[in-house]
Amino acid sequence: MESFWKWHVIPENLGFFAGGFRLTLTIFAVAWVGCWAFAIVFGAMRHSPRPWLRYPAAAVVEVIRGTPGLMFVVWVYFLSQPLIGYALSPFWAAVWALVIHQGAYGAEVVRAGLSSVPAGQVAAGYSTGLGYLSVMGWIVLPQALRNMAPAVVNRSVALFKNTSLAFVIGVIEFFRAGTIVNGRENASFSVFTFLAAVYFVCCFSLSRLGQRLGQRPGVIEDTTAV
Amino acid sequence: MRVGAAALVRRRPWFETPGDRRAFLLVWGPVAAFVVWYFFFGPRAQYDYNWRWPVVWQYRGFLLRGVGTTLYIFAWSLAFSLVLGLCCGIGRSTGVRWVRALSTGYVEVFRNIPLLVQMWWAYFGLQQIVNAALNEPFGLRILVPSTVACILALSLYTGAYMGEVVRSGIRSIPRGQWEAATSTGLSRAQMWRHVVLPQALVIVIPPMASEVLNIVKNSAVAMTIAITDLMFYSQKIEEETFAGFEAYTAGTLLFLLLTLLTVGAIYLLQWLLGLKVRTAG
Repeated sequence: MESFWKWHVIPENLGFFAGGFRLTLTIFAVAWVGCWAFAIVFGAMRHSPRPWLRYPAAAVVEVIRGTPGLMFVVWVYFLSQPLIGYALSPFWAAVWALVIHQGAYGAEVVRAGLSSVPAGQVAAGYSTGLGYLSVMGWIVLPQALRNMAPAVVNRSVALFKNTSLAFVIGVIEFFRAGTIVNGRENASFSVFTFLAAVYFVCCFSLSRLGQRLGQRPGVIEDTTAV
Repeated sequence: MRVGAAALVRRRPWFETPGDRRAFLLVWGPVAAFVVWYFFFGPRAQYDYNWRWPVVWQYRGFLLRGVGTTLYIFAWSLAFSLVLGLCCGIGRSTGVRWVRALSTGYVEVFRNIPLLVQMWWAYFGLQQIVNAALNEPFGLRILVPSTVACILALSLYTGAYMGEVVRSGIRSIPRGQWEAATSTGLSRAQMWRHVVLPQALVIVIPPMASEVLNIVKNSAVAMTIAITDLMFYSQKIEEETFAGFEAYTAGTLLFLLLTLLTVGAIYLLQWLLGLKVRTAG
């Protein structure tokens, strides 16, 4: 029993865990904003009637969606220098990787949301003399956002889970803090159970919110395991 | 130029009008020109990177071995997660309360914990349990193989998502079908076997396909517990040659190839089953 029942390491290293958790939250918050900016731009492009916007956006989104998130994090971190001539710090590499990778999945959510509004309504809007912005602001978005809300929350849960990938490039976020404590104390059972419990509490409460938003017909579901 | 509402709404197919072709060149031409300039003459060119693409061919053995391991993990995880997902999806739709509670609990727990944490738990945490329960009392030396831990975690994680897919497929069967099955005197098992599942399992193929693709992509996480998969070997080539760009690009392209082949296989399956269902990537 002695060897694996080592719960005392959690309170002993609580400050270290808290620091890691704070960094996880920071990555999540920054990447969340960027992810949805990316998603809105590319989702709107993919929804556009103009083929010269639709096809390039589709190519970008599909290629990113076909690549593992972990590969993306490593790619952005190691290749920022040969590719853009500027070495990103691990933190910003992780943020950019998550923005682009999760943004591509978010773009699909945005596209599905925009498509959930019948084309007849958009046409009616244009024929009453409204412009693009008015049609979007008064007709499409109020309906699309309500239909998208649960999928947006689910995507955010996925983003939160994926912040743990930042660990491979040496960002000391919550998961890496756990592995460091584990390396010092040799308490993998206790440490990883603790990590799992904390991640579970955060993600479960978020996804409960998503389920509450999704108790109506006509909503879009996004339950992709990435 | 005045544009009618129809032109603003109808999704025009591939470059129908000359205006579309012009707009494509006018918008993306400068973007492409800027990228080319930036890459070859702009600030990036200041950083002198030594391109060594032959390295990829030189280390093709590594990449092939990596693909092999990834496919091995993929195959086992696919088999286990399909079974898990099916059981769990049916379990969540039955009237038996404890079965439903069990499957709901499973789905919620495994969907809300990062795969990375699950994999490390299955590898390092499980080893400590095995040590305390078997190795120390009985003087054994059992080691949890990393492949087992990886396949276990990947199957449990994907199975939870597949369970949700199967459940929503079952839920989409109209009430009338259940009632008709009951009123023709079918037993509960016969109803599932002959009425509900044949219809539900066809409906779930497209969303299931995207979960299958996710196994390929998520298997990259196995690299962190020293599984020698494609991701691992990409990193190994980088470590041996310092040609990081080339190695990771090759790895990424191979992952893309694997996902494309999987999509192709799923299309083939649908065609063999004679179904006309669109597969979502």
